Amino acid sequence: MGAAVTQEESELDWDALYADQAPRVYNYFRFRLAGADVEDLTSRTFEKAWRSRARYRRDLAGFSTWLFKIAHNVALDHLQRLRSHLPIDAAAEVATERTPERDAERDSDLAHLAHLTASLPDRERELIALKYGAELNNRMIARLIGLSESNVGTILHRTVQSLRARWQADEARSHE
Amino acid sequence: MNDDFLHRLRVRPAPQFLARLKSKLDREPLRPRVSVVSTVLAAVLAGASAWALASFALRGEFAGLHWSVWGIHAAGSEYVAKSAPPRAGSPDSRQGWGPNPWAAANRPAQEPSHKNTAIATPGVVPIPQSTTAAPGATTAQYSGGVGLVQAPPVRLRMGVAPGAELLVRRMVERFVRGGNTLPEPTVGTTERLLASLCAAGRPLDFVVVPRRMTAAESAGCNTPWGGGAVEVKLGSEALVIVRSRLYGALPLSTLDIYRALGKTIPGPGNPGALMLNRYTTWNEVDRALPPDRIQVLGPAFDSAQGQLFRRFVMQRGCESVPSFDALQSADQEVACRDVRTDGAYASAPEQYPALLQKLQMLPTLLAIVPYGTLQLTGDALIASPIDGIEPTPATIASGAYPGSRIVYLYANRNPRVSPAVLRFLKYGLDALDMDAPSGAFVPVPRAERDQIRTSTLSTLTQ
Repeated sequence: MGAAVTQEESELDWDALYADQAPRVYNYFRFRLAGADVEDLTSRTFEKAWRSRARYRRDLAGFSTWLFKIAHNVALDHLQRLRSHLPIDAAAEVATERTPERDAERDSDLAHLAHLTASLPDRERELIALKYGAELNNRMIARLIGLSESNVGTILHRTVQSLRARWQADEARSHE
Repeated sequence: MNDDFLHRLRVRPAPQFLARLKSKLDREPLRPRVSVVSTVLAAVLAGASAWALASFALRGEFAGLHWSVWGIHAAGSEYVAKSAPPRAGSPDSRQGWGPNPWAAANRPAQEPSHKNTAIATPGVVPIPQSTTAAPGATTAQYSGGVGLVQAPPVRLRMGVAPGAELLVRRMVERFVRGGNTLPEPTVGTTERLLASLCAAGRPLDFVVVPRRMTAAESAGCNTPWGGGAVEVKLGSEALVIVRSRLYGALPLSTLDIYRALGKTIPGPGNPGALMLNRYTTWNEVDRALPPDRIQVLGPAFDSAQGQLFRRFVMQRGCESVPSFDALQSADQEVACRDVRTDGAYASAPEQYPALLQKLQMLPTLLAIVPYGTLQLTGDALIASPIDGIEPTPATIASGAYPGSRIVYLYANRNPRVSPAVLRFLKYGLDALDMDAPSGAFVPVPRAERDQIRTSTLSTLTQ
């Protein structure tokens, strides 16, 4: 009794949602947890979402908001697992851990960015990942993080300014 | 560093990863949701019923009302069960099918409209104006081009077999642009058209059909009225089944395709009867095939290419079912004609990039496309061999590839008619003078084409 998939849910185009959201989730993890197995985290997010998609309610949240709540939790689980296996000091360095395989990547801009964001507070790192990795707008980010839209804009602006300054300083140092 | 720079750091995930994950997700059923409200309501009702029964028992009234209480409950339950229709999306209403991801993007193809009903009707019937009229033609006849010197009216009578309308349209358009007029072609079965070609009273002057004339049919044209028939090989039409090259070709037989896509198929338990097709994976169709979900995108059924697909592949597959002969003729027609509308087959996106994207993302997805499209895609797609035969220019030109057929034009050589036919062919063959496939049409090689043109025109001018 009461077991039913509503008409509205059954009409969602899951293929289209997947095609649209998979690259966003993938890049969210790339920005948020550089050095992690991004494919694995993306898979875990979608598997969780697909398993519970019948519980997704359009009247409560947009699909992206719902999906990125799941992605956020997957990221937190990942970080907690890391922290339970590594000394606290090492956890901050995971994003920039140096291995021969990652040497090439380390030189890339994203690796440089990861190095810079590793020292940011969690909230700012999350905002950067949602804004530039997942390409969510400020309103959606605000809904996810529980901040006001203007607050999100302000924090992002300050964070990018700070990153830019440190980026330029790094570049200047490398030219010396 | 600015916003653009940060956005540019994004990358597209590897297609193989996306496809692998999607394939995994596709195996995840959409589990029904248990509504909290209805669960609570059910619990309250159950509790109340239990409380009422206990009250009756405690007050010593249970014995007297026992049957009536159960009678009321029984009747109430039955009424609810009978009156409540299956809820949309419930397992019952899905007939055992999982969620249909194509439902929103591609509504099940509509059954043929009146146009196609006419095409499907045996016998010779006029082609509706909308299916064959040249652009701008609004009257019952193809009208001549504006500003051209009008030639004397050519009163030709033309017959077209179903599916060849696109090819004929191309020829007719060229003819009309030359300042000629042509009555609407009639469409009918190949047998009827060929029989009409040389019949008394000159019902038709030339016909376009998808097979060669038999010796008996040819002999039928050697009458005083007929004067023999001239054969012109116009080219071939071919549709191919493709998959993204990332996942390789899926070799199929016409029987597999029919069993996977036919709306009704002969039941294994009762070969003389049709059953609704509920195969969901290819290995249910044929154990040798992989356990991939049956998902095929193709032309809309009411399009010319949709008609071609039915006639090329579905008809052949249907007729190759071992128990086909056990079906009644009406069932045979239904079995061979109707394609699934439950999501296993859906209309392909019209834009090629959208189709390609879907094919790259979904490893189990197949698409039916014109041969010309395959040629344009480079290495992105790979065609399935059908009945072990690869679609190549050679197998298509010979008609060996099951997804192809050779189209012929037969003209009446009656001296009173042949000048007009000659005039039509001079224009019409020009329209087919191409070296690369166009859509489903595959031209004959240039050398052969030149030879056909020369011999045809010389035969008609003799």
